[in-house]
Amino acid sequence: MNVLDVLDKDLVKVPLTASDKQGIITELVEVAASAKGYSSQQFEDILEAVLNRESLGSTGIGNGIAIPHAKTSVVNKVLLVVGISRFPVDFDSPDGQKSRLFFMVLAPPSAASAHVELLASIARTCTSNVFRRMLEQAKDKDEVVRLFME
Amino acid sequence: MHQIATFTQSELELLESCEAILSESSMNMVSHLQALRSDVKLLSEIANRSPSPNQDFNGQPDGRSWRTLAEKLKNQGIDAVVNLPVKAVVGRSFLVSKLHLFGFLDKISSTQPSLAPLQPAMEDSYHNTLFDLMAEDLYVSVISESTGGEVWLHRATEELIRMWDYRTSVNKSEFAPNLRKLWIARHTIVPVLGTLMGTVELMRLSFGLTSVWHAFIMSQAKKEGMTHALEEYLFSLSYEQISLLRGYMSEQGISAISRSQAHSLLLECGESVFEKGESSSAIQLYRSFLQRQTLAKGRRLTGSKGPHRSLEEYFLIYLWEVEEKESAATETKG
Repeated sequence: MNVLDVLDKDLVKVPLTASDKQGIITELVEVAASAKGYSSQQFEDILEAVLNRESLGSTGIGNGIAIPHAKTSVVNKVLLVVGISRFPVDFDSPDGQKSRLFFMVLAPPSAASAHVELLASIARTCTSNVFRRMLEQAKDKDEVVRLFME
Repeated sequence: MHQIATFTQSELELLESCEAILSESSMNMVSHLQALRSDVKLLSEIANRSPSPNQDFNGQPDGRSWRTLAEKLKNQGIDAVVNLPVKAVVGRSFLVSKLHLFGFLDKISSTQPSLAPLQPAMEDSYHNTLFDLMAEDLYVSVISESTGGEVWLHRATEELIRMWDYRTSVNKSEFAPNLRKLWIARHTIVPVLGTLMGTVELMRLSFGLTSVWHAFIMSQAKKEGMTHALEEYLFSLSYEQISLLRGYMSEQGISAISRSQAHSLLLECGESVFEKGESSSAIQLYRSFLQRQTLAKGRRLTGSKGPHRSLEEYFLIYLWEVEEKESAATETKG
């Protein structure tokens, strides 16, 4: 499973408008809930799970990327939500850099290692400085998908 | 002639600087430092006087070859091989002695403020030496566990022999560079644990590594053994401990666990954890490495669930297999 296997235009948002960590996470969960038709309870369950995980330690990776995530029984397979913010948001990343690229990963509780390839795929593409810059400047979700497909 | 260089240029400069600084405050420390340095030099001289395994392999009447060495390691394991080349045995002692030397410097730098500016260089020297030891352990383990028919066995044994010959020569680039990068990238990451998906740990690790690593993960990610080994590596927990934690989280209906919660739970269950706060991160990595190797071997012997190789073994074998394929492809074209 790599990014292209799970990348869904309906799960991409450009631009994200929130200006803080909690706002960004909420916005990403809203994207998932809207695209998948989750109930408000399911939305709350996902949000709680992601925020709970975030409280244990920052999911800021560095290089302007953050990867909030959670295991939740709301999803029955790995889900990826991609969001790009026009303005950097503080995600307590280890390199001190604020984040503009967000990859929210949701996995069912039983998914022990299905997401490894997905994460490796994200890392492989995003280690390129050029790719990250292009992604940050993407105008819309179509461009985001196109960048990954190229 | 195959010569071990006692110290690299940067190590020499570090030692000279330390001696100069310490001579202004403590001649006892200087004497001790010089004694340690002398021990390292003596061991490298003894190792250098010993014949290279490569020399032994050149048409000696008893028919020794890289294959006989590999066969010996495979069937007997390193522990039972009493007639390993002296250069290999003494060379390892040389590395251990060097490790203690730089460990001593690192230790006293916390009590000698004047040494503080040299602390990063001390750490580098310590880590480089430690990684040399780890690389040797890894190579011996992989060869010992081989069946004899692997396409990479010749390459692996030749590299081990070269490691014994040079032990990081000034003129030779570091051994197993991809492995070193893996260890350098990992030893500064403090695992969060959290959901136990390894998301943050894997992403932070991967950003410090090259395309070779990414290709390895992408090609091996579907193999259960490798992903379990990867989890062990990322979390510094055994497969069994990770399974225990997952079971607990499932029973309790919790989606994420903190590092301290996980360690407390494991300690309550009588488990020991690889990463303990009092040791340096590099030593913790080495401790984790040795334990993971041991556990993998145990599972292999008993046929138990869980990874039968450490992540480093999977990575090393992958690198060799890729190189063998590329060599074979080049030969075919030629």
